[in-house]
Amino acid sequence: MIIFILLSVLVIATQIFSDGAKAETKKPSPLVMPAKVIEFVDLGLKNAAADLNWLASIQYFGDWQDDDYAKLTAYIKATNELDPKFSYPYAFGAIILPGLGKTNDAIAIAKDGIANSDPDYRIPYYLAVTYFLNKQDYANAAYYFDVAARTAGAPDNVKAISASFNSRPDLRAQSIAIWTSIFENSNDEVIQERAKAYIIHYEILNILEVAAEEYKNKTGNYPANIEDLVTAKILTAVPKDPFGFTYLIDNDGRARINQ
Amino acid sequence: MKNVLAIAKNTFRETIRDRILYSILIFGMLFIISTIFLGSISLGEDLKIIRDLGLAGIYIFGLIITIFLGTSLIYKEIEGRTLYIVFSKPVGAAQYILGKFLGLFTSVVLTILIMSVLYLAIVAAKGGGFDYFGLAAIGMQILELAVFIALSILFSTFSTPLASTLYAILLLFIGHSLPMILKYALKSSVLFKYFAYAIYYILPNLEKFNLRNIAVHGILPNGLAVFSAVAYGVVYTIIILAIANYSLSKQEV
Repeated sequence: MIIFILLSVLVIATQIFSDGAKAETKKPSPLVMPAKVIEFVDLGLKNAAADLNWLASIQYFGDWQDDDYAKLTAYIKATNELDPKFSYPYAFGAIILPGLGKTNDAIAIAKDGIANSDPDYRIPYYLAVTYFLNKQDYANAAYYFDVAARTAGAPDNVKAISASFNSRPDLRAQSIAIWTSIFENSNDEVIQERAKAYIIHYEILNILEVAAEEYKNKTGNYPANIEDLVTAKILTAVPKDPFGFTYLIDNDGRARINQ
Repeated sequence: MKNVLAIAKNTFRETIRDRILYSILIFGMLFIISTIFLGSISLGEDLKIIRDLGLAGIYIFGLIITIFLGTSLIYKEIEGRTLYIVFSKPVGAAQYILGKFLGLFTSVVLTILIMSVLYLAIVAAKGGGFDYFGLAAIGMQILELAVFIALSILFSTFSTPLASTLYAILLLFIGHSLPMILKYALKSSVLFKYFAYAIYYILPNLEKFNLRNIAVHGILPNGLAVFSAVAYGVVYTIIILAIANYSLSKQEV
């Protein structure tokens, strides 16, 4: 009995030790199996293989990675090579990859999705957002907003945004409207978090501009830095940007990211 | 016909009493239930995951049951010499083979139906309504399993269960890879091209029965494609059963 207890304690101790050692070692970048290899062994269950690959992509994205998410594009492409009609990975790639510095990958994936997948307004919609925000390519953004609006199942607010996009009275207001519609229409927590972060980011810029105008009315000049707004008791604290950026007010009173 | 039905009924009873069949069926049902969890971590693509993996689960566990039961079906009667008792009565080898096929086919269809009811209930509960397309895919799957049952019976007339299982698994992989093999062979040498054509037409092309990948996207092939797949399955099964009959007749019974 004592030997049994000692052996059990030894098993638990070695498990705790090996878990601790695993946490300290760097996680290797995973191998993404090419779709052609999977097709040889999947017994015709391409969709199921694509779904399992998609679940692996989500786990890869959701876990801390030492490789700067270098394999995310490969994961998404492999998923859609196995099941070209699976629409969501295309949309996910279109909206997430630009934030990882892979805007061109996002555009290529989204265009592939528009050509091959089941009709899904999210793919052209997120592609339009990428062109608008990451490429400042307003012509392509307008085109793909229109494609999204004409796709079956597009919500009314997406159609409204597409219709108003060409007038563009204020790009920041457009951006807030776009991200608000993405937040409201998505069931994906990852995308909702990203949308919320963008909305907060743009709202902070609006708040800083209003505060800067108030500062100018008081002192005759725009503040040299954001902390001056706190000193002047116009703001209680410097707002914290969800992306970690810091801000400045330019000579025209516009709030910008401090690059 | 009376002999065929009697053998079929007996085979059905025998297979249904096998406890390992129930274990495999329970694992199959647990797998189908687990697709609910997998769907929940798919970032909003629950229904697609449930349908794809559910249909895959019905197929794989149906295959496991088929191969497990079919590859030992006749072999154990040959080894146990109980086959002598059957042939001492006025029962021909063809009646025996057909009876075994129908009995095992009924058992496999019953297990597929049980898993299908669970699958359809989960899809409906998740807001997918009644999955007519999935049902069509399961229908073609049953035809594919009929071909496999015939092959398993053929192997069991001359081979041990282990070897029969290996042959069945090999044919499973080849059967699903035939279109791909032919596609690559067309770019190769003439000799390999004709070899690929030969195996493409001789070995069972299991991709003909595969509607799973398109059914989930709400697509079905046209009537002519379905008719030709059904005709292919029926004729291929008859040919395999005829070869099994010949193989059994050659046994020293």
